[in-house]
Amino acid sequence: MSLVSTGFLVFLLVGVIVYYLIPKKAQWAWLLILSYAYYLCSGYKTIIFMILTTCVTYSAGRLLQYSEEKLDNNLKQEDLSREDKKAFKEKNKAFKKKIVLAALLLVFGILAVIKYYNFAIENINSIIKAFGGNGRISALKLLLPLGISFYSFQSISYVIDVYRGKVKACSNIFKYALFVSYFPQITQGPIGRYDRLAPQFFEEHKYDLVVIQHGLQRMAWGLFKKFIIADRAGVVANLVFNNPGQYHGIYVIIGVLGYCAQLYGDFAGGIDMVMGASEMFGIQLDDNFRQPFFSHSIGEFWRRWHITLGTWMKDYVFYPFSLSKAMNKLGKFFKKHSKTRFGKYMAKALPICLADLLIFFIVGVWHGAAWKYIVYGMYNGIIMSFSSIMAPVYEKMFKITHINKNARWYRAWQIVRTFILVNISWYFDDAATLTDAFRLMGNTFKHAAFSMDAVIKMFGSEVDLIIVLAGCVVWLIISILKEKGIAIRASLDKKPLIIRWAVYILLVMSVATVGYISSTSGGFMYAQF
Amino acid sequence: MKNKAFKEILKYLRVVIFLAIIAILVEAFNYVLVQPGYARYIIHTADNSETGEDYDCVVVGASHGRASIDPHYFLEMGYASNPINMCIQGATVIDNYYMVREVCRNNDVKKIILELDYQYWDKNQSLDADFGDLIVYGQLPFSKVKLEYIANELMTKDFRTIYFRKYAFAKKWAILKKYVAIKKTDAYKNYQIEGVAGLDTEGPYQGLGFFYRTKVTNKKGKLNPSPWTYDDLNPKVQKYFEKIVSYCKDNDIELICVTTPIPPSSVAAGAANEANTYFKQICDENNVRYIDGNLIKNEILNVSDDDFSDWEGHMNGELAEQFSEILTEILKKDDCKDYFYKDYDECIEAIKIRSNS
Repeated sequence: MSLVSTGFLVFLLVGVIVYYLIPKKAQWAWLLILSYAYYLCSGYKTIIFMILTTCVTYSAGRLLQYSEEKLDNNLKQEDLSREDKKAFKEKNKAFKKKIVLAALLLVFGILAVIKYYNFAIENINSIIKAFGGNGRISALKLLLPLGISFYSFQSISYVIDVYRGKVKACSNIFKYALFVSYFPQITQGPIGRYDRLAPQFFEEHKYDLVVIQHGLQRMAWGLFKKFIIADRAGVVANLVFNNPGQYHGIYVIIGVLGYCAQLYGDFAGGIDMVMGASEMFGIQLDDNFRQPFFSHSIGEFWRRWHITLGTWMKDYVFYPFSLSKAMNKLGKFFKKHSKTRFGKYMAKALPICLADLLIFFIVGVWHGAAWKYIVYGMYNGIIMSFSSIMAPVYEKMFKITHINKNARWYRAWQIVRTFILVNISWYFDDAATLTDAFRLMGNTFKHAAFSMDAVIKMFGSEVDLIIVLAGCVVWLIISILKEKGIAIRASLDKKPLIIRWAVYILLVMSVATVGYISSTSGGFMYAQF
Repeated sequence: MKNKAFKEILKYLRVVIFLAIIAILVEAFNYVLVQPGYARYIIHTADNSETGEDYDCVVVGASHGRASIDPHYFLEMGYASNPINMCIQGATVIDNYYMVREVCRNNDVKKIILELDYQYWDKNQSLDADFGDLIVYGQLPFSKVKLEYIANELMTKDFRTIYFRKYAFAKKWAILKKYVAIKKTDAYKNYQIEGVAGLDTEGPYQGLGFFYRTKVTNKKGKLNPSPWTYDDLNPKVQKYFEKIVSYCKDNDIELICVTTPIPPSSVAAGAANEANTYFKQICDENNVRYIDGNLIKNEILNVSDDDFSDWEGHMNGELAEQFSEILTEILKKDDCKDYFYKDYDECIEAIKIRSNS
């Protein structure tokens, strides 16, 4: 059920009405019913995987909690020696680690088999063929469960948080099931955290028209990004990326910029739809974007783009990996054996660089089972690692050249540079294969005479081109205002009624009249993860 | 207290006013931008509840049916007492189902002639316009049938298709003036055919839903359209065909399926042969009479490539008159084996002999 389908809107309408009519204590149960109904409507055949993930992670959480409570009780015994206490703690820690490991293996095992089995088989077959073998391992026909990447990551974050003692394990499996399956976010995130979502799920929500209005406003803004910008820009992107040999020079660049607008509009628009829908139930989800194209570096870009995935990686991969014993040893080894100042710096930077590479390898794999995604991830990882390694060199250069890093022109250059680097990564993200991506890159440097007519033809018509550009300008203005710290909706609320209505009407009518419409529009790019 | 209650009412009143403004604006945009078309006229023709002149025989289908079947022959030859051709250019089998439902809502229909065109049975079919399959939906009056259409067909589609008629907006701004002028005429407002007379219908309107296509010298389209194979079958279309069959059976309506002739060269190229053979099979399975116009012997209906305005199979008025007469003869008889070739092999053989002579 697409977020822009009639079915979803009817579903949401009924959901919201009943939500505020039933006793407040039953609201969470209604959300659970809605979530499972939504899942069943969208892909009932694979619901078993979500139930399995729910059961595994719920049980893991309960066992961790039980183990912690047991430890507390044991430690309370008066006749325990220090060694005994230490032994209890060690035993408990080992047990908890086993639980977490089992949950990780089961949840990510399901994800790996369903999402990556065929990719692995494809590569193994290629290796067999390369060595002259005739045998072929056959691929499996597997249905990709809706939102598997999102709910797997979300439920694992819960297990680790319980392990770390950050949250208490949920004692009610149905309440926990809501956390895993919450319907607005199941299709494309954001990846939620138990400590922020659970209190909102289980508190009572009073009906407030303003809450509904705010939700609808956010959904309308999401539709604007999706229909005015993303779907229209997608026409150009598809044209160039589906025909990698046909376009050269400036036309490839237009295609890549088109993909940039398509991806950002689609993903951010989808997230706005999700957050708006959730807001109508009084539940605030974590923001996933913070004006990413104002970033001064790739690192900052990833702190502003798909924020919930970035913070997940930071909390559950980056820190555990970079602060692990092995990395610590590696750092010490470098420190001991390097005599230069740079070498000593490397001892500190290396664990961070390796963690970055690991994170972006996972980010690449998370995006899809294909080499192009792995290269996409590694491209980002290498840039970040290289930046970390070169940081002292850059500092030295700034000193020599007397460049003021805080000067406006330099900040602007950083934004432009990051924008270019990000757009290069889209070659890998959107091309059908890695070969196509490199082919398109090569074609970018081939000359093609610029013709406005050709550009208009790529967009379909002059009107389509103007609409995309105008849409982007509106979005840019809103982004600048947000970057300056202006809360758009709050400030709009303070404006006179006539201005507010003019804005809302313009928004709704623009979606209705100039929003792109095609028999293939309506699907969201991140809905397939 | 009173003040608080008033404020509360005002809050909701604002919402209602806001929605009303949106509705008015949408209507205004629809009025100015939606293309006026023949579908509006013909669908409204079925709204016959008050005239007492029920259509007893209705032809439903797409453009081939509109160009080929002249119901005047049904009338003249006593096959029906009040027939109408309600075929609409671009109407899918799904549309056909809702057309049948709509026309039967207000008429005591005895016979339905369903025109079957293989192109609408292709799962890979790309529609001419975005959301082109909503032409009929857009013109259906608000009724249980329309609600059923929404529930069955539009729930998975973009929500804008329900009310905003963006899919039917004019493609060029320059033509809007002409469209608005058409919409301002009394004939258009009163759902009269003259209201859409200014639009290109590729020939004069002869009444009863039939257009007499003018002969053209340059054919449109490809000479050898890619043949339809069983693998191309759209299961959803098949499901809707079966819904039409069930509806007719449940309501005691005689259903006859007809495939209108296409150019002999296209037949020889095998464009629709497998599709039409499949139509025969599915009709037999459902106890529905099927008439394949392509298999009518040439000595009975003399068909040549020149009788069509394109290779796809839109016939010119002259052949349509002949075909309609023979079709009526066939419809009136129970046993018409003598009218037809045994199968496509025999038919193609005859075409080859004709082209060699």
